[in-house]
Amino acid sequence: MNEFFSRVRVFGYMLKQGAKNILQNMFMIFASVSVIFASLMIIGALVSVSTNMQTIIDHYNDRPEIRINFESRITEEECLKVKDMLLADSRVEEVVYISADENMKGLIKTFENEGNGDLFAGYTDNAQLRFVSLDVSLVPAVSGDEFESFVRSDVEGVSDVRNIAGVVNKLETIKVVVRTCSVIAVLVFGCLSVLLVFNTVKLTVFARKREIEIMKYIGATDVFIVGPFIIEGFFVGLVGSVFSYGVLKLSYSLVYEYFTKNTLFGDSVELVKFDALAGSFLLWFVVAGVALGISAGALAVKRHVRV
Amino acid sequence: MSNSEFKGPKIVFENVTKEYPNGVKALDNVNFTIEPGEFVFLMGHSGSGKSSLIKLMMLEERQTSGKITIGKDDLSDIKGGKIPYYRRKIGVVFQDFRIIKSKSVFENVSFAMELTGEKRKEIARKVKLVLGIVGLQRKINEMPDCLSGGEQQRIAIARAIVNVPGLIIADEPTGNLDPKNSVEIMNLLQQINQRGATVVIATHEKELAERMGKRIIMLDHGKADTGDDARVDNGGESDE
Repeated sequence: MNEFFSRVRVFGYMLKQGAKNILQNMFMIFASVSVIFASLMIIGALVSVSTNMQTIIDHYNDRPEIRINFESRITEEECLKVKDMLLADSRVEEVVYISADENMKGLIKTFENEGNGDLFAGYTDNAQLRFVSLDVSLVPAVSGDEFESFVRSDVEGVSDVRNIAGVVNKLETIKVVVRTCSVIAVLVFGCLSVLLVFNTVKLTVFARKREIEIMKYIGATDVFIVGPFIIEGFFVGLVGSVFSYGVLKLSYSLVYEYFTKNTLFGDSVELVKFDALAGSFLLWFVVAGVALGISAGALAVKRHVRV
Repeated sequence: MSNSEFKGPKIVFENVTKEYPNGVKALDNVNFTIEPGEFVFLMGHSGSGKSSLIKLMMLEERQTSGKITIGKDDLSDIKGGKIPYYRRKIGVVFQDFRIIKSKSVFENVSFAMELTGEKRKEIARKVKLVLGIVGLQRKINEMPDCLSGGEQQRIAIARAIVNVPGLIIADEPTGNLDPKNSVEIMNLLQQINQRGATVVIATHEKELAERMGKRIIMLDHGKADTGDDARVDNGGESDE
């Protein structure tokens, strides 16, 4: 028991010395924290983008690939004839009719998100705003771009064609780029962070080299000598990671609000809520930050002090 | 601290040789014994092997051959991770004091107890006690730069004895001091010896050593003052 309490006291002393190191090197500590902060922010942002892109892709993959909106003059009857024609096409797997009422409901819901739902009060029966649509699911391996061209050229009364499949392909490409950038960012910024924390701790070690030699003569163990520097690295990693998490959460919330309220995107862009990302981010940020800090600190001491 | 609280160990050097990688043989087949509680001077000119002998006792270097026993410890059996624990059993005083300038007198002395995880109250009690022994109790909160050379060496001695080690090793402790302070430091070390510690002092100051009237182990070509002392032959080249 006495041994345990002795170790606790020794640890307390190391904590105190670590804190002293930090206070004496505030400028360099600030620089190190900033680098870890920036690194984790960039990595976090890239991961957020990548995760959201996957969510959007999954969202689109769950939807029919081609949405055909007809001009307001096209009646339900005419639209259903087009539906039958498309169903007879071997490239088509399924066709779903969307009535004018359903389209109007969708439009109102989009504006309600902005708080402008009453904009349509009195206009719900306006013929110019009412239109019918068809949702078309294609047979696998059929090109969405080709089918879109076919619809635009061969189907009468089409006002707009949304080729979800084409969008998804582009998004997949962008997602691959973003993921590659994330990996590169992790490697580059990870190394930068380790380097800067390493230099910060190295400066402290150099300044205290004489003191460390004296400590060895008196009987200080390697752990006792290295401990405060590890604590310094730990602190840098922890502060940088927690700070970057906080800023990322704040900025993500602003972006989330913009996308969900903006009618430009309607229901085509649905971002992942930060809380769904939060758990893994916080944990990984802290683990990454602390690991960077500790490894850099230990390396600096080992290299520059023969303990 | 009471008399005989320091339990001085017996030191035995058996056929000890130290040869450095550059070929210099600093110690050549050294044999001597220092009894528990004995006060001994190691004397010799520069390059005679005094510092090498001190380094072997502190486990800063390893002997090339032979056996060194200090108390119950065969130094050859003490491996890397155990060296710090061995060093806590000896108090060391250096020529250049080796005081930490950024710490106060209290902190410099208490540091030796902090690394063993001693309780705060016990640290305060013992530090005040040893500072009283060395005559620096009124300077407890001063910074080393405010103190004279003699006072700084006293801090070093206080740090060396605060954990009540059985063995005190001093490497030229008066090398940077004036004659008056040198005598005071030697008297202090003698007081510690009288409390039971084995004291080994490496010095080249012959008059000081002779005045103390203690046993002298001569290094290099020469015999010891006391008839049963070891004589150490070295290669005649500097080991420092």
